[in-house]
Amino acid sequence: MQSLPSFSLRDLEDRERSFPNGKPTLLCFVREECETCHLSMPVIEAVHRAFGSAINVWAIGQEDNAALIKHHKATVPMLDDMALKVSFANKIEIVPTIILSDASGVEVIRWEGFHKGDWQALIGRLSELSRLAPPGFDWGRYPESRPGCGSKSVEPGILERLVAEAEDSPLRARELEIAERDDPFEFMFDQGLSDGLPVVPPTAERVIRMLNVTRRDPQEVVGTCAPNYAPVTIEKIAINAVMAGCKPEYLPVVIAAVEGLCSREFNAHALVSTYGPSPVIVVNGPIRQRIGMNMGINVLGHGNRANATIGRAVKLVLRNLGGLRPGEIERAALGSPAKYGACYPEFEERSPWEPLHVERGFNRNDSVVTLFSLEGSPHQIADQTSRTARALAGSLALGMECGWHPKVRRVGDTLLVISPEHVDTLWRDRWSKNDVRQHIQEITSRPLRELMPTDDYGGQGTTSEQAALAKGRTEEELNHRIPKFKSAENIHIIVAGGPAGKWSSVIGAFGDAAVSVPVSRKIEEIPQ
Amino acid sequence: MKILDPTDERVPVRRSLAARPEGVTGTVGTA
Repeated sequence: MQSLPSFSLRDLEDRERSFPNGKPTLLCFVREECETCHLSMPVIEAVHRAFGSAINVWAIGQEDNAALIKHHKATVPMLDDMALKVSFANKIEIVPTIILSDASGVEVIRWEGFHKGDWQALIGRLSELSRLAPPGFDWGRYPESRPGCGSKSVEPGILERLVAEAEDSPLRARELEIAERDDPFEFMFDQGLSDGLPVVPPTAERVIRMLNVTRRDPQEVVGTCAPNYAPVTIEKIAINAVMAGCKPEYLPVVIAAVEGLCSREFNAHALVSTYGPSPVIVVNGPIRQRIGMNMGINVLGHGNRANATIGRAVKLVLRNLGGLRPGEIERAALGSPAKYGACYPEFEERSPWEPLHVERGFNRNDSVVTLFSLEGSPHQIADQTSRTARALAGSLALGMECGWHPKVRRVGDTLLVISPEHVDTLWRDRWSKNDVRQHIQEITSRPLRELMPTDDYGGQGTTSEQAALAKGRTEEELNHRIPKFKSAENIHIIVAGGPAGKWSSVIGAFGDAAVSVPVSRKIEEIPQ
Repeated sequence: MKILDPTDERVPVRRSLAARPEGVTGTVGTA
């Protein structure tokens, strides 16, 4: 048997009662609104009157304690646990809960609800222990048993607060107190904690609820977040996820994305660039369905909570922990709407091809995030007339030339989001993703001379390799054709979008793949 | 209300009370 936690509570006469205090003690956890507690109160009172001189018999009330005592004209000491700390410490889930401890505070007996047989056995035991006569009692008026009610200490919102305030609280973050007359939303704007939209106040209760979905230690450091290289704990991720508006079940996705964000190869430091790149997150695997992500109509737009808030949570981590704030260390000349967050699931069920995460070495049943550092906003490519895979892939290639600058060649990782109608056209001819990639490279290959600046337009290119190629070259060299992308592997393809509409989208590269490499991280599986 | 600090806590809290207007301006309805 286990030792019960010690405590001190005041009774209705304001007298302090400490546990343990060298006597066997009967602890009776009750709440006024519970019918089974009312049923039990006369028994508790009778036990107190019979054995109170030898053992402590205490009612421990969770609410309206005086009313409960008055209703039953009881004399049993009623201890005030309206703060619910003792109920929580004793893991009370049901009221009434009856616990008998020995003189040293070790639990001997415990039950929940009303059970006539248990009470009768307990009274026999107490009589034997105290050598006092048992109370005379009309047991015929009582049912054999009756279930109890929920303890107030486990009600939603209350339990989370008790967990947060417990001695072994999982929370370590600094608390910020907002004055009573202050508006918490305005406060968070004033503190610079927001991306410009209102954020949900990250109360301890909300953060505990968020943390409940993960088995990971809240104080585990998943990495350091550039550009300030602050340590990022699971707790801090949860706080920012609350602020972003995430449901708790989104947290594993956010954590995996932040792990990718903190990786050396992703190089989040580059996000300070004047070019204004953003992390773009693609989600694959069963979790897309489980958390209700939108893969269909308006997939790259607004309207779905998971799509909107997961990306936002990652951006808030970058802002609040990484220190990536525009006008300070973040120097984007223009930025893009993707700076608020960009997170899209692949519509795997609508694709004839292997999904992105399988291409990247994961099992189809794994849930995975893949992070890209891209120019941010999608650029839509319209093609309502192509009827063959070749024509359509070539058409998409022309649309993809705009990335960075139409003339710039050997750009890096780019995300092509192909709509269902377009993928149907490609698959009708059984074109694979690699066929599409190769054709894009072929169609976008241009002779170096076409990439040179003229008096009418500039844009020689910004990659150093291309700039060097342009100087003093021979005719043969000027006719050398250069593809748009550094390699076909830099063209990442997913399928997503609504059922109708011959449009696809490209999210352009951030430079030449030298600064940031796409990273994938497996998402923690959460038991259903 | 108390909230948990989402930052790395290396930066002090700026202040605890938001600015609010000194007085009420404008009118509602007609006199």
